[in-house]
Amino acid sequence: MRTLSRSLFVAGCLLVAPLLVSSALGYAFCNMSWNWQTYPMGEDVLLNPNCIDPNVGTQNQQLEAYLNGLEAWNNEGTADFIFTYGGRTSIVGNIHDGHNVASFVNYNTGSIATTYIWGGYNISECDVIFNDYSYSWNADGWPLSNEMDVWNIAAHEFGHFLCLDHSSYSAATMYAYASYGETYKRDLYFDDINGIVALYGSAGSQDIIIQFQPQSTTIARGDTLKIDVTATNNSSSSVSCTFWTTAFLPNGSLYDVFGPFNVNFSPSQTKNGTLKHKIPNAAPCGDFMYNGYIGQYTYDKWDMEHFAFTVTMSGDNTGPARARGLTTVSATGELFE
Amino acid sequence: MKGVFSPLLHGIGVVTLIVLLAQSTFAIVEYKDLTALTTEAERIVLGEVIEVESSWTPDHRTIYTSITVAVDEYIKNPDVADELTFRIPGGTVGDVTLTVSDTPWFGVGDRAVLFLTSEYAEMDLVGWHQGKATVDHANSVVEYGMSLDSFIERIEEILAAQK
Repeated sequence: MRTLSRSLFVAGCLLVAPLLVSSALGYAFCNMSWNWQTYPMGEDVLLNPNCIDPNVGTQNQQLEAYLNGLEAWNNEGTADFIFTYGGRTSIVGNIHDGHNVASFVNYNTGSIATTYIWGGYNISECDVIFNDYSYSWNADGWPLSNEMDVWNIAAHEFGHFLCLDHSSYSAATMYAYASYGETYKRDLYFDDINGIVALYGSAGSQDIIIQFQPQSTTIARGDTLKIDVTATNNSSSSVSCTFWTTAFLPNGSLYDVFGPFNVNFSPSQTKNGTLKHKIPNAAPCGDFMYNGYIGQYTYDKWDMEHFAFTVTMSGDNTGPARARGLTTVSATGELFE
Repeated sequence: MKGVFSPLLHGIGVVTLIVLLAQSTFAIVEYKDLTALTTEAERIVLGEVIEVESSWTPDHRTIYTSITVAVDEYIKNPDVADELTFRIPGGTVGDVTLTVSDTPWFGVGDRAVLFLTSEYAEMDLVGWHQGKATVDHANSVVEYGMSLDSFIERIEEILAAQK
């Protein structure tokens, strides 16, 4: 779907490009920077799934849409930085408070979404607000022709977090304008990739990508969460690193789930494995967010992956939540040997 | 704060610190053509920026910049005031800078056609950066690649068609 939508968009652009693009300058920078010499971004991004549109989707879908926007940049894999998710927040707006926050606001900003960057030459904080007053939003992945796609717009705004300015390519994620039902900005255009590589340099030996495929995202208490994990070394070097996972509980608190586990890769090697986590009978019911990281535990994260899942009450257990969450049953496959 | 661009700051005589905004135009808006800008603007003026001043909000949560222009011509919704002030989010106060996506640059001496609104909570320009049409030294409107006279005529045609 994503490829098709981009193809259709690009075809459209070819027809109207002479009207829309006055030059082919490509990416641009905002002339500010994070201290990317040590740890790009340096801080987690907090997300507030507070859109109140009736058809936007669940709060977990809102979180996933935000995170997909973040990972659009992480997953490119050729640039030396990473966004990391810091959990849910109730903070709203563009307040100068030391936290990087994405949230919806229920007043007319006049824009679809706006990024606020605090600091001088060095950035100290970024906030993004989505206009929930003037626009209807969609976070289930299938926006209608009268809805703005959260993922699509988040990908654009988080590009600003990385100090990218607008691109003159109308097919780029960082193009200045968006419209209802649009999804093509979810996937980076070559110009977006060139921009972040120019800003942050190539990841080199840190070019490792992880991907999760949960076998189910609705799990009853007492059942097992099963996740197929794929990790790929996109570099031409052998790499030693660590893999670990965490989860956010429905109340937003974070706890460790698996690892750190040491992984060695040959050049261009892909490894697969499966993680199984038991959901305790007394686990809290509700929406969880599972997160995986690869890099050097814990602060040097080279890639992040996530998915949302829901824990439901089992038929034979209606007791109160007591345990915190998941316990690892097994980790099998080449990735975990 | 809405409606600040109305003749609120007549007679500003105190020369304040001129802050050239380190602001870019990045984030995302809907594209608005000249007809949409003209239609949505409550007031359209040609003017020259005479003052740019940034300040914290009273609760110290965020920064806005007030821009005062000497009005050369009211193109839509005339007023008797020869100056008006509007605001945009962001700016620099002391050693703190807030850069906000989609806000245009304003510096003292800039000439522009401004499409002003009071409909937005934080911004008085229609379509954010689209609400400023820069007039260069050759009296050309930079964003539209036409002469200032032609640009104003086009706006007046749009307004006449709407009557």
